[in-house]
Amino acid sequence: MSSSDIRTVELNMGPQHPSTHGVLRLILRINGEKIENIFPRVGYLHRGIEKLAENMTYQQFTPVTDRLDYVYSMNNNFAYASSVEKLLGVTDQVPERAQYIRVIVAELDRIANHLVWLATHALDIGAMTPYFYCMRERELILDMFEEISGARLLYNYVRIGGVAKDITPRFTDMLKEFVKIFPKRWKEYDTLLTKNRIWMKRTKDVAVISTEDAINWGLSGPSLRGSNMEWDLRKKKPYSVYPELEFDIPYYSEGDVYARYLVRMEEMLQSNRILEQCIEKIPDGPTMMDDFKKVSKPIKPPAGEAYGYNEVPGGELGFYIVSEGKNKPHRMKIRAPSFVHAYAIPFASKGYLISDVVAVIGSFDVVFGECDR
Amino acid sequence: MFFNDLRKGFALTFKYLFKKPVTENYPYEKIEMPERARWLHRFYPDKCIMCKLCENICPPKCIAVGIGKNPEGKRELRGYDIKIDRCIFCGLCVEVCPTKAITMTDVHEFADSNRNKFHFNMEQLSHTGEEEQKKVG
Ligand code: SF4
Ligand code: SF4
Repeated sequence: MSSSDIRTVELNMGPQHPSTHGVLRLILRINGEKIENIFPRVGYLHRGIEKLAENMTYQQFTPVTDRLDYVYSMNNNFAYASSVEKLLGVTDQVPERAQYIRVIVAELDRIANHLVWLATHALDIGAMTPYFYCMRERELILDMFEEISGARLLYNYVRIGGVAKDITPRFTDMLKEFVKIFPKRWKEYDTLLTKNRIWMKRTKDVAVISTEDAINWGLSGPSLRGSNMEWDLRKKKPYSVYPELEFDIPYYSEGDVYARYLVRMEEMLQSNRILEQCIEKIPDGPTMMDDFKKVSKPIKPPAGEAYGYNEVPGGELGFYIVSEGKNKPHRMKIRAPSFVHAYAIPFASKGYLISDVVAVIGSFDVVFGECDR
Repeated sequence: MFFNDLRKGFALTFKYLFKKPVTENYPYEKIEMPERARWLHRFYPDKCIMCKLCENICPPKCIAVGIGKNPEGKRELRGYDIKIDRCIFCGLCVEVCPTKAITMTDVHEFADSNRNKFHFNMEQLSHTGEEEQKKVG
């Protein structure tokens, strides 16, 4: 075979590929095993959520935000509720207890999301055991959420002006139990993967992104923190009761898949730390602002616009809402981290091998409910 | 050296050989549902005041409240249908109802391959949960 026979081949990956996490379709342009370019095709899960928002009242839209990234629904509810509160200008009137409950469920959900991420990421790369261990702990979290909201996946729990219902004593017991056992269980994942030589070979020095590139591509959350950037909206632009809580922002300088893995692992422990403090600090009191107790009462924000953002497990989730003084938003733009990350996959995996693409997709934690909206 | 990292991992998984499974034997052993479980609706016709709040709040618009007039000219409830196949089990209808005429139960085993069976009418909705007890008892 002469060298002129070697040519670039196009290979289709997805949308039903097991490690493209849902319905991502990638068109790989490969030369031998080397990636020359990648063209992501998104939109297989498009439901027109932004358009739906224009035809729904503010309260009706809360259950729909659950369906953005279905792995961290609580955080989506939280981000949406705080955006509408910002638009209404009532951010500081939300009762203290509701604020704490929001932080508790958001951090629990962060752990749950990272567990699903770790499980699938490890499975993609070839480690099967962490999957079972992670799902076992996630089950505990889902049981807790079922206790307070009644649903296991799409909660509709954090509402505009507070939370839907108060937490129950049984939830508090389960939470205390969870906070105690979680660091021990975390140690198990750590033992299985962090120092494992196969894991390190597959993830170290793969898809290296420099700090500058990471910022230019709009990465956020753990993917940005893996590239030597100490940026966390919970610390840098504090909202809710985060300023009163003590926690660190883990960040690593390598910028490879392994660094992003370490960031997310570390974050789970930090979330656990936040939960411990919340159990101590949570005050008594109402869980909902009086104005919003009735779901049927229409909310009519004054004409204007607001951009609310939250640090969700995937990165920065923002809702940009334009109001014209009616009970429905005039326009809503959702800034979804998964969408931004999906389009950084080609840049990150150029020059690496086909099998590394799977590691890159996993390390960005893209979920397509949110990317396609 | 000596593959210490791998040995540690194997030791951990080996330990689990002697532990009890954490999975649940679901279809044979029923799982207890929390009090707030959001599953199939139950409707109490005598409590309903025909305000249509539930119909208006429902995000996928799957509730239909039928209101008619009786011979004396008074409003009366003619029907109450929920298209359960479109319901997203958000629980908003239960929250808005001023008289608790519509509630949610923990009946969750109603899967079927025929979509027409998911158009629940007032008669069916007002007996949710009773059939289940008959089956079990
Ligand atoms: S639970 Fe939600 S979707 Fe289902 S009938 Fe009630 S309001 Fe409609
Ligand atoms: S909200 Fe309650 S009272 Fe009003 S129509 Fe619906 S079920 Fe009847």
